[in-house]
Amino acid sequence: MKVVILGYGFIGTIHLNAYQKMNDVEVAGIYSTTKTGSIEGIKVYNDLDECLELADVVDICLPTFMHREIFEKAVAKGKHIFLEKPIAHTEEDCRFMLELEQRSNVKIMVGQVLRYFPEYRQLKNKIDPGKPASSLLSRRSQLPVSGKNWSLDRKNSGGVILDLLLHDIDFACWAFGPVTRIFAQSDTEHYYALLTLRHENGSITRLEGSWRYDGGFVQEAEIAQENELFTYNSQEVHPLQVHRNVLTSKDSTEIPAVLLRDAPWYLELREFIDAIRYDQPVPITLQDAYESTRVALLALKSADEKRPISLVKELNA
Amino acid sequence: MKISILSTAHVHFEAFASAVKQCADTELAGIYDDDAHRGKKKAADLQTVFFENIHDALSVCEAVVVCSENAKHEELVLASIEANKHVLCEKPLAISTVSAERMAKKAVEQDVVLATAFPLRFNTPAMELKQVIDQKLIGEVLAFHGKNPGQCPKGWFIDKKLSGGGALMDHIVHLADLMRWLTGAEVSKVYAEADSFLVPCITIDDVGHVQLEFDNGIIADIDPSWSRPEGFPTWGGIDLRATGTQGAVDLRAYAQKVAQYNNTKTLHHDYGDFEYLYMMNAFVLAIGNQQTELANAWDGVAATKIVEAAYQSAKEHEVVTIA
Ligand SMILES: NC(=O)c1ccc[n+]([C@@H]2O[C@H](COP(=O)([O-])OP(=O)(O)OC[C@H]3O[C@@H](n4cnc5c(N)ncnc54)[C@H](O)[C@@H]3O)[C@@H](O)[C@H]2O)c1
Repeated sequence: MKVVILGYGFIGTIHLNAYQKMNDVEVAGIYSTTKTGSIEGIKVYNDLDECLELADVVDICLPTFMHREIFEKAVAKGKHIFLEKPIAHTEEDCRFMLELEQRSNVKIMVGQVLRYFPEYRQLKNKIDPGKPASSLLSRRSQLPVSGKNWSLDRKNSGGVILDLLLHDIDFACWAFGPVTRIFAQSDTEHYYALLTLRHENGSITRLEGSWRYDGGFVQEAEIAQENELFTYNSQEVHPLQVHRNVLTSKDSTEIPAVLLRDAPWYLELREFIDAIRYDQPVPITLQDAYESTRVALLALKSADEKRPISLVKELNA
Repeated sequence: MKISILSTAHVHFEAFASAVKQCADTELAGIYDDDAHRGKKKAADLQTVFFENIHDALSVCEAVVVCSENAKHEELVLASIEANKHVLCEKPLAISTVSAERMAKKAVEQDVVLATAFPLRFNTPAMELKQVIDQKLIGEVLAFHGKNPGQCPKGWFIDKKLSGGGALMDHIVHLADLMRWLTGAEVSKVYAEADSFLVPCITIDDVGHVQLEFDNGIIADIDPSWSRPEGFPTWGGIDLRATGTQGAVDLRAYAQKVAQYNNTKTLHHDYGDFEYLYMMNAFVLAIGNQQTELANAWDGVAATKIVEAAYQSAKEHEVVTIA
């Protein structure tokens, strides 16, 4: 199967590593606007259409604000699509893309990768789905690095809520079900946010997202149910830590340290490739991802309008 | 200074009693309790006098600690103030803003000290946090993320007539007061979700998720839930992260613990400073007209307003503005 990677930045690099472990996948090309020549023996294309022609599957790793346009082109050419989260940065783009999907018959999967982190799978499997939960989810890092700093501009990335906290919002929707009410506050730059979600089954989820944390990357979950409490903090479960007496620079985007044979980014792409090979449903559809993306977009609206947003009311409006 | 303790109902009674005993300037004059059986037992444990009549307890002291069920604070505090006694009252000062304000006004009229017991202001790590913030080591504070979860204290705490409310009433005030004390800012807006589904067989709120906005734009949240099951090795804890323009600081006010494991359970033993003692010292100084960090009655009123707004918000699903 021939895959082309569109956008070779932070996540594009991780995806290339994952494909290189698959002997049934050939990365036929990389689309980049800044690089030329080849990367690890793979030809780099500066012409998108030329690159798309090579592919059975396109993997969209470009900045969020470009997703819609690239997605439209790939669907038009009948390519299977792996789309990085978030689907898009506006409700309008999301809906447009959902409509395109309706009319296509290609496989489309969204990279809500937290669902492939085994610790979050454990949490989801151990909680009692018949009982409401009270949860606290937090994700913190230093300010991320991106091409032309696109991710720091809320207009392009959706800020910390859509770019970072969406991981946990998606987990909350996946683990506790649909959301009925949202309240959010953030700082003016949208580098820090606090969210409260009320779910249809009565669960309450409170989230903290921060790009203002220089204490090392942290993902954290605390889930309480009747007579039960689950806790997880990525900084307390490091299986290996190297301590060097040289100064190291901290100038890249931080992600959780994963010490597993198969990283979550590998697992999600592997399942997508298999879904295409064996013509099976994809594990995370555009519609699945839209549920949580929409919650994140409404959280932005709540923070702007300084009021809680009820999804029931919003739907009727 | 002779101090009587009025009621032994609250779980913090032991902490207050040992603070009075340990403090160099105070002496335990005796105990009054409307539950004579309970009061006699506690008095015997502490080798002090038990008074069946509150006026007898008031006649032998200069100041009192009020340590009753929340709903009985006002009656005991007003009786003490009328007898011209200084008062250190367990938190929350009252179960409603009007009640808290009546108490605060009465103390002003009679010119006695009415202090609210917010021991976090005397917690050594929290005091260090105040230094960090005052010295602007993290720049300007933008946000607080707070957790004050605990085990359900049961007993009168889950009886609304006596407690005024559940987890929200019990656990919002500590962090709300700490945030006010750290910044000097006042809470202007409150949003809360609350429910009862963690502790079996109770109907009072045991889950709470509160968001606050301060009048200077700081945003904050607090988790006051009774989310620690009975098997949890400690009562709970108080964690606060302050995020600023130049960094962040993580406070775990009760992290200083030694763990003990045996064949059936895990125990945590605190080794941090005993903040009730430092609060008691400050109470004595405040009575002598000195400046201290002690929370006064108006701090108690402010915290009670926040709790009241949280309950209202949880009911109406709207942001509640504090006037
Ligand atoms: N699943 C995850 O864990 C995860 C992690 C990080 C990013 N992402 C998602 O992946 C996508 C890409 O993010 P990233 O962190 O790799 O970004 P990045 O900036 O590191 O990479 C983006 C690439 O697109 C190129 N590009 C082309 N046109 C551009 C333009 N107009 N402006 C800026 N860059 C342009 C850049 O040169 C760069 O190679 C985003 O949608 C992001 O949300 C997902």
